[in-house]
Amino acid sequence: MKFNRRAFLGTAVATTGVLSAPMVMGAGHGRPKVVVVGGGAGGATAARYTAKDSNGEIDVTLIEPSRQYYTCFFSNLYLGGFRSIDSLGHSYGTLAANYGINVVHDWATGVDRDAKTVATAGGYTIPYDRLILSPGIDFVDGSVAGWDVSAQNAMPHAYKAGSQTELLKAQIESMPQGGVYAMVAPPNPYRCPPGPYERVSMVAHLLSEINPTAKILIADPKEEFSKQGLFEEGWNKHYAGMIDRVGPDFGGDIVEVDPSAMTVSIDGEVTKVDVCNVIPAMRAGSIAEMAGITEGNWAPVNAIDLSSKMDENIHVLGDACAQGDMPKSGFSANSQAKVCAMSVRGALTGSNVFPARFSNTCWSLINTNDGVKVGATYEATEEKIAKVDGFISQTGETTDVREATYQESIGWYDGIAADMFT
Amino acid sequence: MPGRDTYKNSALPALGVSGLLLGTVFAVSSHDHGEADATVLATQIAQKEEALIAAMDDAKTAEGLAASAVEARDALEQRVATAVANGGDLTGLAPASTDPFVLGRPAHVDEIAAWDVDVLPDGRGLPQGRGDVWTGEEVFVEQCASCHGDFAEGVGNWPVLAGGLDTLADKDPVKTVGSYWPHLSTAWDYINRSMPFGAAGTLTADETYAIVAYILYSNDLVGDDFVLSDENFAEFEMYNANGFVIDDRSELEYSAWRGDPCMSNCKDMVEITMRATFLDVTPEGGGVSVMNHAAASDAPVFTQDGVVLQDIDASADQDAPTPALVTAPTGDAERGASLYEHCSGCHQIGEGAGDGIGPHLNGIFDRAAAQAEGYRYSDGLQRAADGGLIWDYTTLDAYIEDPRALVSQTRMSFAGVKQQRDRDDLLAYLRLFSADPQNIPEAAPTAVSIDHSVAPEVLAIVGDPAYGEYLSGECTSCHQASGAANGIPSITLWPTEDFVIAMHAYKEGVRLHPVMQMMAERLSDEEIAALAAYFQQLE
Repeated sequence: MKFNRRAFLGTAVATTGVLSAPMVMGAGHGRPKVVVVGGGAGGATAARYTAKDSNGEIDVTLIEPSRQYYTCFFSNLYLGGFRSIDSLGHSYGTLAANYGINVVHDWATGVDRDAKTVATAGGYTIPYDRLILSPGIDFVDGSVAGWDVSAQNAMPHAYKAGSQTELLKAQIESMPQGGVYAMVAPPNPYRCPPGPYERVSMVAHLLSEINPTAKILIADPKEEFSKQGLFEEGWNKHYAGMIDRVGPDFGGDIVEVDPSAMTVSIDGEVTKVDVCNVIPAMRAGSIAEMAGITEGNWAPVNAIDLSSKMDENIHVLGDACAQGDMPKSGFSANSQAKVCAMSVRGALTGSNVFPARFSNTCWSLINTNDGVKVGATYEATEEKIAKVDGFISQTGETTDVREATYQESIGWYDGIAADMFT
Repeated sequence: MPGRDTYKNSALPALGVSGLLLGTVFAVSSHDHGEADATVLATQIAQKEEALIAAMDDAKTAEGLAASAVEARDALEQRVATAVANGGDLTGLAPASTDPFVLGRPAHVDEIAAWDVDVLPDGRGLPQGRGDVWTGEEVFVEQCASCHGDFAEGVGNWPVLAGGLDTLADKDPVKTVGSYWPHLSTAWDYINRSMPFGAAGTLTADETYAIVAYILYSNDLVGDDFVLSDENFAEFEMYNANGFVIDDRSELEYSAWRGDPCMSNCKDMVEITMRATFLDVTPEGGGVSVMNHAAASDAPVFTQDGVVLQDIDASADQDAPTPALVTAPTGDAERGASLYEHCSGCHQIGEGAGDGIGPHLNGIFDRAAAQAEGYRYSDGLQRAADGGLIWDYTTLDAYIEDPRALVSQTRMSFAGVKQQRDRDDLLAYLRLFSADPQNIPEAAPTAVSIDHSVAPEVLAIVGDPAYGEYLSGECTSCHQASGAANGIPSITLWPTEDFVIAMHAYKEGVRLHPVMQMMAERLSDEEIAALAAYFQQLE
């Protein structure tokens, strides 16, 4: 590996928390600078495509606190015992080595939109010509009564993959026989619409193997949810009698939890539970709000290039943005990132800009070899990213079709991981 | 004056130049000291060499030269010493050189003798010695049989040395020492130089004679009391001694082929007769359909062309030059039976049919794809089956029109039946062997036949790989650009035509896969061509 300014920077930031004086770095001369905040499906893809396709014409910096990134997608499969946690981990070495991306492992703590700089927790101030924010989600304080982030060890959300996911699995595995796993499902809109219900399926799969008399209780503020027919068909088929979902018609939207007593109150009815998986309401990752480009919980963007409606030099990708019809998924973020990278390149280097096109497919696993999917294509209109066409798996499909769908999802995982990190 | 030890030591660090040195030393010695006293000469050699070493101190040493130079120098030293001891004449060691660069030297007779080991057919070069069959068997079993077999029959894929007499005129002749080799000296020489494998040079001359005798015995060319020696060697005549002829074609045949080459209009009609099905190098839509040439011979001739299926009743479509657009006729099963001859090489059908090169086709209608028990299908067909492909009129029609359009990388290496009427008749015939036919012409004649094939002008679109690269972003979320495939097939390095055909099949809904149909649906012909061009050239 060449030891250059990039490599030095990555090392320096990681190892020196003692630098107290803010300093302006990388005043690169001539090359336009793109700073990407967040190294997930949106940010890693955007950084990779911007650097790769500009062939070094653009100086790309990726700010991401984690050295090892665990994908949220497929983390439910870890809960179900279908994947190891290690198989979900990815690092940024290839992005730095192959594309010269300046990977800074640090927290972005603020954006000065006038000076066009990003401040980091490590004390750096990094200038940009274009800023791409792909910070994922944070939680809305107080959305579930009795829960806040300080209670996340007693009642994990496990909605950012990694240690939380491992914690949740350990708790499920140590449930007493016949115990209760409760999930407080989030209100719309939230990351990965089928995610909570795939999780229920995976937890049910795990419990049916190690704790077959256990129960699953879902408190859900939504009347209906993604792939509902498919999930309910699967639950009846594979886990009959195990899963109980309380919707808003029975008070599923009036929930309070007590992390110290390990109780869940649904419309006043208190249940003692053994594991409580609280998935609160969500908002854009905090840096979007710090940048002052949010409206409500999300950052509104223009469909054509994912640029913020508040600042033309900032783009927001993935879960954090309010773009229209696309679900908040890794696939969507990856799709948006490519359109965004193309637009940013076009703006900074004059390269070709083609009409934006987006697509998304979400696969979910219900039980061993029982995979389902939903997907759609989208286009950019004046006001939003608008759905063009879509499909969904059918109830009553043959086991062969379901197995093929699951195999396809494994292929997709490898595909998108390669598209992000290699 | 340096002594011999000094000479030796000082030579070592500059071995790289010694090769050059040798020539120089000898050139000098031969010029100046042709008849000189040997002691003086040796001293002179040492001095000259030392001087050269000093002069070339800075020269880079070449490792490869060094080793051979050490040997050569040691040998030289030895022989100079011997010559000196005998008070002999060194001119024999150092023949005069006329090389103006005074490099190298002619080889010495002893050196030539050490290399000159070849044995000629008339026995020249053979050392004295003898060996009998029984001794040969013992040596052979110990030294040769692990590869060539106890009876010289060959183990595994190692060479067979015996047998094969009378097979030389066969299509697949067995060429052994006995059946094929014209000269016995080749056997002796080869064994002497190269055998046993990995331990060449370890056999004595007598052992080599004995092995050769045993090989002749195992070829039934001699009795078990045969003894081979340098004396009777040349007398032995091999079985195939007269089987080789001088290649005289340059004299006898060349003139017959001479003449100005034809460069235009050399043939009345040019047609494609074969198709490289896996490489797809033969353009689609080429060739000449016999259907359109009523004068074609009556005998059906199968070609891999796919454009051509010999018509049984050539006059039938003279009134319908574009049969694909007319109302679909009710399939004629009888004619289909004749057409099926093109299929029967691979696909059995009827009572007792089993799987051959392709699966049997009994009950094919309304059957899920890839269901013939025990038949190993291609990954492509298996994937199509997993995706829910059912054989009905529409899918079978599409498949036999162009197998690749429906199933990429199918092993059915058949370019397809392009004429709608042929397909209708074939399907009508297949229907006879299906218990539960669905949607077959006779059952419910389709009003308008469907042309599934991609129009030539669409196939001819040259895609822009740069545009394809942009569009590929939609593909690489699932299909890995590296070509790795796991659950989702690789789409890199496909022939562009296959790519285009497959995408249009998704677009038209001929191929079933919800994601791919959705993706293909909004791709224009140009965009599909661009993607095909991009993925075809991806590294």
